[in-house]
Amino acid sequence: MGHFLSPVIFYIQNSASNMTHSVHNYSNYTMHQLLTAPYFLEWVRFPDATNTAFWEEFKKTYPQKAADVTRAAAIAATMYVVKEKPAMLWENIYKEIKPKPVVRLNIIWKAAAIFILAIAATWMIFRTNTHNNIEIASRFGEVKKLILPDSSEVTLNGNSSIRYSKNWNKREVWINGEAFLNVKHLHPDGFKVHSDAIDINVLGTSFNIRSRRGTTSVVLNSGKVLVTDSDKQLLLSAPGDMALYSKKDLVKKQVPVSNYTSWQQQKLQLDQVTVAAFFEMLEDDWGYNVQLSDSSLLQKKISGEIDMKDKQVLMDALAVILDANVTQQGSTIIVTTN
Amino acid sequence: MSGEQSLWDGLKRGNVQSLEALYTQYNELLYNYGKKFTTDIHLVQDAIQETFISLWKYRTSISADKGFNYYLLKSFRNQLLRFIKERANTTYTDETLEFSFEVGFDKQLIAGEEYALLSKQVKDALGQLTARQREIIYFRFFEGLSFEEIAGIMNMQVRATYKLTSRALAALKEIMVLLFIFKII
Repeated sequence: MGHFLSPVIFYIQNSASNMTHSVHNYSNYTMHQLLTAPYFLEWVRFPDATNTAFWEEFKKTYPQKAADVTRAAAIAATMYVVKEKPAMLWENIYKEIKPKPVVRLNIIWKAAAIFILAIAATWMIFRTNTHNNIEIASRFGEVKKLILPDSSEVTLNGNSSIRYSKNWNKREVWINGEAFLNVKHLHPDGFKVHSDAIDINVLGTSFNIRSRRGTTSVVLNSGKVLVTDSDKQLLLSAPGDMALYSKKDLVKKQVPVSNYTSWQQQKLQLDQVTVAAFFEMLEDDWGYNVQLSDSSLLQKKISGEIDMKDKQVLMDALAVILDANVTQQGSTIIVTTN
Repeated sequence: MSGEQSLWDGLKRGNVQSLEALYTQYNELLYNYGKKFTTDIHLVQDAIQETFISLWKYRTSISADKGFNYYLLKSFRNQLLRFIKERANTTYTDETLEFSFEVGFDKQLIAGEEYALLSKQVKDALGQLTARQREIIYFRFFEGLSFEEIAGIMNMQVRATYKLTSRALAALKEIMVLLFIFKII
């Protein structure tokens, strides 16, 4: 960068200090160079007495350049930045600001309402005191990291939640959706995770759990976990061991770990995943609603890595993978086959 | 009283149609400006939406004495950069910001090879500047804003704009000279 900051003094203010800026500076300028000379552009776009006098003097001093100045000025006046016509999305704004219906209550009803509210509030306080749970949830598409009281680390995928007791007298958490857990400082009394139909006893460090639409998967990253449903127990002890609970049955498989944990970097690694399963992921984790004109696409299997950070990249990737037209309207993705 | 002034007054009185008219009028300006920072059009649309929602929310306390254009560009810029920062999830500084645009000319005046050559020269010259310098050039030459307005929108002191701009312009000039020398060699 150094040489660009060399002491070339170039004044654009109409100050008295422009004595260092003389018409001779431009004696060698071609028509093209004039077109990218800021002081020249400044004159074309914002002519005033000072800069007009300057360029008139230049033409007088270098009459052989006068034609170039005239032509460059004509071209510079047409310079533009390429523009796009954006979509009009007024409805989205209106939805947020439209007036809420006003409820008019007479004084007796107001008194009654306050009384009921007071009772409800008392009950709520009482209730939360007995249960005293902490629940942390993530929004659609959000990857959220948190640390439990025993300094275990939890990463929640989009639209997921974790619940545990505030006083942490038992190392026990409830998971909804998908989470990656890295359990620290193991005690003999263990660490328990509950989800939908299965329970997990953590005997060693890190694993991924996903529970959506009645199916729950646990994939071991390191250490050991014991997965239990109503009538079976599976020990996962090698990285990539997976316990899959689906249709009231618990089975063990071997899978590539990174396919199940890459979501933490907001990337999806798909390995022979059906389009249907991929769309379910888009709906469950990201809150998209996919509309498809040709349902035969759903059985197609896809492999590859998709970066979910940039929505536009995702739409482009979808279009390429599905060989279809993909458009987005709010949270709806519309896929039309070519 | 200008048409815009009456829209603004309508907004202050709580007229939703005034907000809609302002949106219709400014959507394209904000969108095209926002697109220079990111290729994610949904992020840009979300930022526009948020800008108008808060314009509505704070309508009674807003003062737009520096002009509506100015007010909207400034609050939109803040909103968009906040979104970009949240999404990048990293420490963000002005230096890591992107800002890029493409310049075109009237093809009637300049055609064929000369057009391609000139486009390339301008592109190269802009490419050598920092994102903030490009943003100033965009505002000054293509949106026609004053240096005071540019400084306000970009949260800089006016003096800094002058400095940055003259430095930006000096850099641009330097680059053109360099290109010229290369061509001769």
